[in-house]
Amino acid sequence: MPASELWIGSASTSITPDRPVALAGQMSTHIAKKVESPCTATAVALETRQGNKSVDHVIFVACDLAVIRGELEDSPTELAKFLEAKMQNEFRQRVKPRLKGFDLNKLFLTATHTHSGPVTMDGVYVIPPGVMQPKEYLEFLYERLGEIVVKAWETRRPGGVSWGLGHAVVAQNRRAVYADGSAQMYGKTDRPDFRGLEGYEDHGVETLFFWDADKKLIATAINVACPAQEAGTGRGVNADFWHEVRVALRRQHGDGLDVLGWIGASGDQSPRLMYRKAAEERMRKLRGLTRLEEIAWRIVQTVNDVCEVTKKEIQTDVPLVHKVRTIELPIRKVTEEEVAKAKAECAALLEQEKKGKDTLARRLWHEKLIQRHEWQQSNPVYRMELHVIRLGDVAIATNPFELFTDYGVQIKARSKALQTFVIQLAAGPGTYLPTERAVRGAGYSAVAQSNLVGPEGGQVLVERTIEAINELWP
Amino acid sequence: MKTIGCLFLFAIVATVPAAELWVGGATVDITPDQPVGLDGMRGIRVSTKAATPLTATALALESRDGHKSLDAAIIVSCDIIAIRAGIQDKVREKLKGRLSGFDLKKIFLCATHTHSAPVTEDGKYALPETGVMKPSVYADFMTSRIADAIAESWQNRKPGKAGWGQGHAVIAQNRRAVYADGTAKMYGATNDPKFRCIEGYEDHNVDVLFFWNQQDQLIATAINLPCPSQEVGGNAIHADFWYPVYNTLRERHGKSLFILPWTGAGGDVVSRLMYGKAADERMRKLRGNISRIDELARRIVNAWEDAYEGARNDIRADVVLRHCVKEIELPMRQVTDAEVAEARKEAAKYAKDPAQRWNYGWNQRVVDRYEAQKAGTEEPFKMELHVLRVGDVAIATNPFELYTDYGVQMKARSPAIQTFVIQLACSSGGYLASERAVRGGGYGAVIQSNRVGPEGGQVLVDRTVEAMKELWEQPVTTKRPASKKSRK
Repeated sequence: MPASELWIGSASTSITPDRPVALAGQMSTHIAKKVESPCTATAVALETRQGNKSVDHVIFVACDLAVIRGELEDSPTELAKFLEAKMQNEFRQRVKPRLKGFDLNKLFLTATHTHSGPVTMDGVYVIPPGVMQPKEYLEFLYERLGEIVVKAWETRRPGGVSWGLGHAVVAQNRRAVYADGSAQMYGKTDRPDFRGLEGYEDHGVETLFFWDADKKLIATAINVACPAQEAGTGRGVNADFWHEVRVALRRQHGDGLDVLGWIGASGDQSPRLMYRKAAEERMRKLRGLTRLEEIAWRIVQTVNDVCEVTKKEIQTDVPLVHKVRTIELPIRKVTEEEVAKAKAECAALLEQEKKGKDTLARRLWHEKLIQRHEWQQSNPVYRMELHVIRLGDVAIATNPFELFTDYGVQIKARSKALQTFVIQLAAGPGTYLPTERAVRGAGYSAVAQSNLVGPEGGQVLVERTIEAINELWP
Repeated sequence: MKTIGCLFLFAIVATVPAAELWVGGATVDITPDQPVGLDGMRGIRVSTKAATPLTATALALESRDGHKSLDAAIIVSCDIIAIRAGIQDKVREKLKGRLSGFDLKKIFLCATHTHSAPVTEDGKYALPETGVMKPSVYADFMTSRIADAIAESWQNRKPGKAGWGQGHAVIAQNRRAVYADGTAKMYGATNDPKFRCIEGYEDHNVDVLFFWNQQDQLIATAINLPCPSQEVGGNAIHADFWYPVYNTLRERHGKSLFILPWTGAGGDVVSRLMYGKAADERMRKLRGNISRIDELARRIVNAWEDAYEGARNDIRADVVLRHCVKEIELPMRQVTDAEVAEARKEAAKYAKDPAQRWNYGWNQRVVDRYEAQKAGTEEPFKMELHVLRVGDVAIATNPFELYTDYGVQMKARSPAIQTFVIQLACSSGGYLASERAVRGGGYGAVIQSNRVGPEGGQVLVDRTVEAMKELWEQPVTTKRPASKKSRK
């Protein structure tokens, strides 16, 4: 293959509104009236060229948001309305006139899963007047995202890339398993019947570094298999640990550094500690760090270490191949028994709402399940957009779920790439995709309400992803 | 009333007399000067050289109120695969009369689990009759050296100070791959399409104890890592990844630093990678072509330094030391008819081949157990349990290759700020598998591997947690750590 040249552009912006806003990812309405740390979005544009000919390209956009809601099959039901935020497609259409020569399907958005970022969907929370409504926020968001995407694409220049693997203990498996076989998210571990943490934790930190022609670091993509949901006072906008990561990295590498926070497969993880909290708290006090700073310190330490080691191998002539395909995953079928239970829950929650309690989000959670029962008759599969990219020796694969870690481990273990970056919470429903052992243990995140797709579909996702990756390593 | 009650409690806490902590240490070389059989594999291996020395390090602790000894402990960490039956007794025997005023039961030995150290039991392998040190001869040499280290550590103890902290190092890799049919396999392939997950958890905490002398010089450290050191194979004697850890820490913190590696609950983990090997190898090459054990040591030392950075801000002189020694009984894992039939068949297959002595013994012991079980003569598994309180730290021992889940349970239910679980201590109980592991089967979780099973494992956890809680019943003075701004 003739030598190709890698062109790189990047940009970041604040996506923090300047008005009070409702926060996403909560089970009830939380209005943020202050900014604890700014939510940002970062775009990195890559293109390989042979002479004047563009070979392939991609634009990654990472957002400090809970999810990038995608769309489901056409359906008149409330369920479809809930899932059809169409954020990514709407954004693609809006930015289309400004990205000449770029295939818009090769732009994708991902979320860091902060639970203190603005809501992007209508109808999930009761949002009082005077607070920015989701539709208004989306307008603001599209405007800001448009600016960085265009800037990243237009300012792309010849550069280089390096990659490496480090480790940081950030993810904590949050599902406690008990003697009777049941599991509970954030369940107590000091109970006598506690038996173990359900699954694995992936502490690998896969990192890409992007350099300009003068070998100055201009952008980095950091793949941590843990959602950013440590913060959460429910009173302020907060970008979670990624803010502290950016601050620390920019202090060392310059204010212009653009940082893509990519969350790996980690539906069963969070940074919240399941045990030995007192020891962690003591160590943080002794080191003078907040919990967010402690998490960021672990990430930054390994990123800097890997950056230093791998900058000996900056590559300017690397293969970039970007495949975008739609794959079909069998949905998790809702049973009659599950519907009956959900109906009873809805009735009970409705009673509470009549008394003035804010249970809308919880009720919708059950209602969606009831709607799915009908919907699944004509919609046995969920179609998802899969991005698989080869960049040098690195594979990057997306999915729209909170994907349990075991699936990410399977993808990494079976991939032919030297390093495999799995990015969850790319545009889509953002629902949990649990493992078989998790479904056995049940509990929030592994019950039918939490899962549009179950273990059967999870395995199909792994197989299709592996096929797509390994096609790129003939 | 409430206010009076609180004030009264405060008065009690404040008047508990401060104890003085005395600390001593000693390190001895336990490397044989002749070829030996190496322990830990199914096949026979005879050492061809000593790639590194093997050492044993003793740490003596005593709390005193003036001239009165309040409690004491001597802990010995050994670069060896396990403390086989009788070894600890032999050491205690050799110390009779040498440690005046010290209760010999308060000594315990633990192993790093290096698979490149001598066999200490005669008959386990069919070793050559000549040219190889007999296991019992090596055991005699080793126990004498260890007894000397213990005596020296006790004799050189002096008033000192203690601190504790924790860091993190990704060392342990759960080695049990689970497949679509529910079976599990130690070191099973993870690039198999039927691979579904890694069976269990990994504990990446590195708990560290530090001891200083009165001049605030660091004199000893104990590092609790929930991963056995068995990265190195082959036919050379080797202390595995602890060797570069010893060297690096001594280069940085003094040649005479006493270092005790304590292996935490890690029966289902090793440092060998289950996936991502190529990426790891590339990173090591980029770091200057460093070996895998140097990479592991680098991570451990980094974690140790993190812990040290915090702990040195909270050095304590008036540290509580309590040491409880108990004998507890655990139910044996019961052999089923199907299991004994399989074991009988396997034992018969290996019975006449001296090269297969390990495999024969592994199966025949199941047959013997079954017969005792049927005859009603089977005894429960008796084990010596040591539980210590050192300041806000709990230390608890067990003689098993204890699956990580049990260690997590102990840590999660412990009343201590930090809990050090030391496996492979006092004796050698084999793998103690979790219930999920027994369901998956495979080496490490089959009847041949387990004298004690999940039922006994739960008893071990409950008894250990009870013993720790007993040690925390009496209120003690503690200083609150001062906040330091060091990393921002």
